Amino acid sequence: MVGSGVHILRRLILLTSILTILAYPVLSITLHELKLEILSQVAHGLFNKKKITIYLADNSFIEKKKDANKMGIVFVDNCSSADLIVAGSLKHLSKDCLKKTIFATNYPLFKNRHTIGALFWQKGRPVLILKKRALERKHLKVKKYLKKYVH
Amino acid sequence: MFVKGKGIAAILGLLFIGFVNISSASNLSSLLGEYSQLGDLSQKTKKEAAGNLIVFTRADLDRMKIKTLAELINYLPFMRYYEDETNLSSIGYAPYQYGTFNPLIIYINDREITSPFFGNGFQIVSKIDLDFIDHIEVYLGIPSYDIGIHSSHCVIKLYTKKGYRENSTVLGSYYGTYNTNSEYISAGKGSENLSYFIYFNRKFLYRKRLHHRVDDRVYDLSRDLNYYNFYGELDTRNFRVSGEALWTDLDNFIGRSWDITTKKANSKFRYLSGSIDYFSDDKSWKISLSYSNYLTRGEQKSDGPMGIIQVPPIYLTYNNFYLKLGGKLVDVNVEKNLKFGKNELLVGIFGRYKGFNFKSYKTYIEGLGTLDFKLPSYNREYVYDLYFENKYLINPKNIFMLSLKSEKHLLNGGIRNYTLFGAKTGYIFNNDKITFKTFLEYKTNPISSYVLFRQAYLGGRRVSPSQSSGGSIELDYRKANSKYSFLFIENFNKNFIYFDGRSYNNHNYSIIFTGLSLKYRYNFDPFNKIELSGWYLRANHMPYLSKKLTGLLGDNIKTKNFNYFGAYISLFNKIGNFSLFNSLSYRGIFNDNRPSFNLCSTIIYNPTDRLTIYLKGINLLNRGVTTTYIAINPLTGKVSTLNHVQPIDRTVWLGVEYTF
Repeated sequence: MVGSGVHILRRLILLTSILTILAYPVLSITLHELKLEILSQVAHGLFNKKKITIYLADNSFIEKKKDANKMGIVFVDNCSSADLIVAGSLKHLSKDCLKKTIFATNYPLFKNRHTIGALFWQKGRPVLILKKRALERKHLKVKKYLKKYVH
Repeated sequence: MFVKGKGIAAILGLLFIGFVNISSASNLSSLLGEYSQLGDLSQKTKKEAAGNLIVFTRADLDRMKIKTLAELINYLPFMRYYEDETNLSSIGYAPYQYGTFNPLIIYINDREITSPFFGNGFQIVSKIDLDFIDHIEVYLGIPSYDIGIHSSHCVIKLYTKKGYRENSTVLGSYYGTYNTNSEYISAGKGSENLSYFIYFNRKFLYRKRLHHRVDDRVYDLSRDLNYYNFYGELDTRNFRVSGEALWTDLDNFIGRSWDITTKKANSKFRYLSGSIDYFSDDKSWKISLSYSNYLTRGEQKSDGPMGIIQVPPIYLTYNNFYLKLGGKLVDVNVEKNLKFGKNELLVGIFGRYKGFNFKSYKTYIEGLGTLDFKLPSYNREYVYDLYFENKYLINPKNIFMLSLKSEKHLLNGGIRNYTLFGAKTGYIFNNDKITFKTFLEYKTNPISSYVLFRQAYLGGRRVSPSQSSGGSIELDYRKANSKYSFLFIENFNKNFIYFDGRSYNNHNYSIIFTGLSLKYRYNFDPFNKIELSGWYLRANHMPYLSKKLTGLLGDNIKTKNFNYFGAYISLFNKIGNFSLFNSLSYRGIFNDNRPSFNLCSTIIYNPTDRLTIYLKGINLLNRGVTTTYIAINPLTGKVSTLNHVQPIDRTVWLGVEYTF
């Protein structure tokens, strides 16, 4: 057994030294950055403004990144001053905020009449849906690239 | 080469059809496609540092329309899919070596799928449809203990669909070759705080019938399988409660007939299982409890003999038997994760009770009536594990790990208790571009209850647990849309258990497996990709049954070196509402069986968001992996063979799915 261990070790060391030469780091997009980008596209497809204020009522959905500014998004701490509320639940929203444009982050809340649409998972895939009637009630006209998501 | 001229052009045309006019997805569509990949559940469950990992994501499985684990083996390095003479799945089939070698351990979530007597979960789940599975992780070698406590040469983890990821009710059906048909329904809803998922599947799998001629009589050998499968799961943030029920009716192909004169070979299997898992909020505690109940009824009849029964003072051959075998399995597992300094320590204990009971095992002999087999009293086993694993994080990119395990097996019926030991050490480097892993491992392997029981029945001498030691190196290199993977393994197996025709023995030679695998993947965009893979495995001193058999089987066990090769090319494409998957894989054994080429193709069409129509073909060239079955009459020395039998038939299925 000792002999076989030495044999393996010798091969491992040889291959390790060849292969590790290739290693060097690069950057790639994270899940939160990706969700932020999707959210930015949805927000800008709904509102014709350069800077859109968003109140995040679902902290698990996305991290409040400072570089959101580059995507024309400003996160606010008060829902009353937000153009768009991103929520996973309506529990902590005041009555005034419930009248605002609410975008859901899960399926059960998508079914709620207060929301205009959602990004949720269905059949293991992310689905973006905007509710036609809810958008009409809010007098929101979506940009062309969002129309295929309106149902 | 069997594929020539027009054949090659046709295959390449089919493979590359997806590259014609690939439509560029819009920006938001692309982002959602990337979200689908980055947000895949496997990103939460997979543990890169846990071993040499291959992941089949939800998107992969959906687009390949992989129905069974038997199909999946096609895309794993170093493996070939076989079925033994009783139509049970296997990864290393050799005649008369039933139950000696089980390289795969299967888990559904954290529940090990195994059976108390045969100890082989792959045989239970390999042929059932996987429409209730979200994604699959394959760990080659001994993975980390937070993946699975019991391991062999490979661990396959099947992760079930979650209600909060489904939010739909799906009704599906497919129909195809030899009148195979399957219907399934699944429903899942909820949020991560509370969700449920339920699934029911009924499948009638009809296979190509094989015939064996003996003198003027032709024997019809069936490999059909009918089953009903139910799975249900309730998830909260802290608990997972799941239940599964499986009823199968399996035709046992050749069965145990010594001269392939099988008239009837059938078994009915019922499997009921329930489990509950608790996870603390900070995920530092995990407690699991599971209970499984098994019942097998088997009946076989043949014209010729299939075994010997002792009727004192003489021995007689018999040509039929009926058995009813029950079994229970209870698993308890408690794990605690501790963090101190740069260390992450996992400590766990595991306990298992397994019991089996032959409620009936009898044969009918003309003139003597019904005779019961006199069976050993061994019917119970307790297994206790104590294990720990420490990961030392030099920094988030560099990890050293060390794991140790001790496992005690306490058996009744005069079978000697034994203790197993496992150790693994490794180094993992991981950044956005490179993943480098190297592991050294040593372990002793459990002996299946089937082998111990049969050895006691045959009166053979005690066999010892086999030992495995080995190492691996893996390098994954990612650049832009490309990923290159390299894997080298070497594994030494000492005291390998094999059946020599009279009883089980420990093999004198150390069997050495040396493997090399290369894989390349290129993502054109989130919906289009190509994968190329090739591997080589050398197995030295494998116990081998010589084809020039005369006399008793035991005199004909030789050792032989095998050189296995495998490769595949797979293409995933999306064109408008069509999704295409095409794959051509190759398996070959140097200087032995003819090489196999397996062409698989799946075309999925979504006319609406709710409706899916798909056409799926497996082994379209009818040149898949083949097995030669050998049956021996030890009294006469007569050898009967069945050559070039494909465990995976040429199959075409047309399916439809509707989402409510």
